[in-house]
Amino acid sequence: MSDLLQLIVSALSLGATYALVALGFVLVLNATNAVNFAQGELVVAGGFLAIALAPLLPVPGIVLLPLVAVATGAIGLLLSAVAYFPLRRRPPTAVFVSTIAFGIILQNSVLRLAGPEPGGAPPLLADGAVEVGEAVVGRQSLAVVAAAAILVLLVHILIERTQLGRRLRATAQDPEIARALGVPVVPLIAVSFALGAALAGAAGLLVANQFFISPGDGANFMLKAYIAVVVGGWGRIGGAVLGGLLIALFESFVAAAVSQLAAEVLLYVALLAILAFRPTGLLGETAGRRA
Amino acid sequence: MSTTGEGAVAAPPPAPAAVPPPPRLAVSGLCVDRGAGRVVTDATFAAEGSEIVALLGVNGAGKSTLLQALVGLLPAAAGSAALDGRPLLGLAPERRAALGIGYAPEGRRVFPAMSARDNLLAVCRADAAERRRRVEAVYELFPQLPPKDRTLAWQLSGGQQQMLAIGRALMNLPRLLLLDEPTLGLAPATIDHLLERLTWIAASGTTVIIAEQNAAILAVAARVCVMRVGRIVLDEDATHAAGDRQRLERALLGG
Repeated sequence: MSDLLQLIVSALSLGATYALVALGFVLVLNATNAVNFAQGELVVAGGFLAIALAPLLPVPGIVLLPLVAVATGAIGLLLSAVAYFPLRRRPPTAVFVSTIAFGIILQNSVLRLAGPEPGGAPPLLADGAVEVGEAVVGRQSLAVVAAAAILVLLVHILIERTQLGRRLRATAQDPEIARALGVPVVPLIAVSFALGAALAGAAGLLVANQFFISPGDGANFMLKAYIAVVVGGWGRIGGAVLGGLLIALFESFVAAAVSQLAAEVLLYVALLAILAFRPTGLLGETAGRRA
Repeated sequence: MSTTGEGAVAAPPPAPAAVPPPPRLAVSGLCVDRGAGRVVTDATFAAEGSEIVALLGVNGAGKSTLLQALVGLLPAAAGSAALDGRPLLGLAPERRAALGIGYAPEGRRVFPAMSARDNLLAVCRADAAERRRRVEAVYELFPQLPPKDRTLAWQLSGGQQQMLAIGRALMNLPRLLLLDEPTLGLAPATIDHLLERLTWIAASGTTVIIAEQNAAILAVAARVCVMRVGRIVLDEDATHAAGDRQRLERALLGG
């Protein structure tokens, strides 16, 4: 019983970081119809930024979080400027390749600056564990889940309740008409990239305490975000979050019951099955069209 | 005051009547290409404030293309267009919207996964209180919309979507409203209601240009421009055009 609770909390904290990565991925995908394959490397960049900042600023991770988010958001702006805008009139595959290239550059920059060793970021508030009944639950796991939940809530409020969010949604749903009606589409697309990258960077900080992070981890985060979006459904924000949580629970339980290898294999089998039988995602699309 | 200033007083500028103000919209020699083909050829016409101009033509006559070139969604190959004397061609679509163009595109193109209210708010460039006031003004104009305030736009009926698309085009108080086939697919009673509201919009000082295949709009138009195979072949008073249906049909269909 106590092991089970521990497992669930640990899986949720991993899932919360997947959810942030997937959420950022979907924001860019919706705004541009472009797949940002640098998203995974942005997680790594955020993690190593936190690791690098920690000795300079001896503060808890929760204070570093906004700094890391702003810095990776700026990398997202750079990404849009060099890898998206010059190619936006080209076929989507051009942006696939350019974001992969940007990711490789980012990965090698981290490798060059930080070396190949995995690193751990400072905890959000404090290390240690709290006792919940008989179970012992890591403070960091709880803090990660709470921080991610707050970030998702903030993004939800931004998108659904503010004028900036309305304009981002209008840009995502029909950029041509939004522009014709006076919405400044180009800066809004850049904002989407910044927001997506900031979420990836935040996820990097969150994950880099409990699970450590190494410069080669980007591809794994990218894949997990992609699977989360496939599971949750393209084109919806709640779906990406739910997808992230689901695959982390799936991964953690199969790994605990069988093995890590089985967890990975079964996850990809599940991905292929969903793509084959329910390509709109398990939760379906939000908006249909009327004939 | 300097001597040059006194000199200017001594020699007054010509009376305003000598230089009439530019028309609301002036289009001259406009040519638009789509792919390799010329779709609009040498379009010349003007429209004044408070006027409804019917841009009549059959499918493929070039009406939508002409509107898209005015909005900035398509580049013009030649010619000029000016809103209140300000050149439009070459400006980005969002700049033209800021100069005072409102646009309700063919097929409505409301933002499908946004509520009716958010469709209106998203395009509005004003502070929050003013945005709310303008939504209320649109809701007064189209009373079908308030009950659908929170409904996602794709779930609205065709008529409601059209009202929403026109309301959305009004959110920045345009001086020129361009409507692309607003009656397409609507029930006759809905069309009557819509046309009545368009006369209200024009009466408030907005110039309205309506691209249509449906000659029913002649009932509310002051002028009609008939397009055939990319050219404006008739430009006259709407009551005059409506009075001679045979001539109007010849203009529309040729021969």
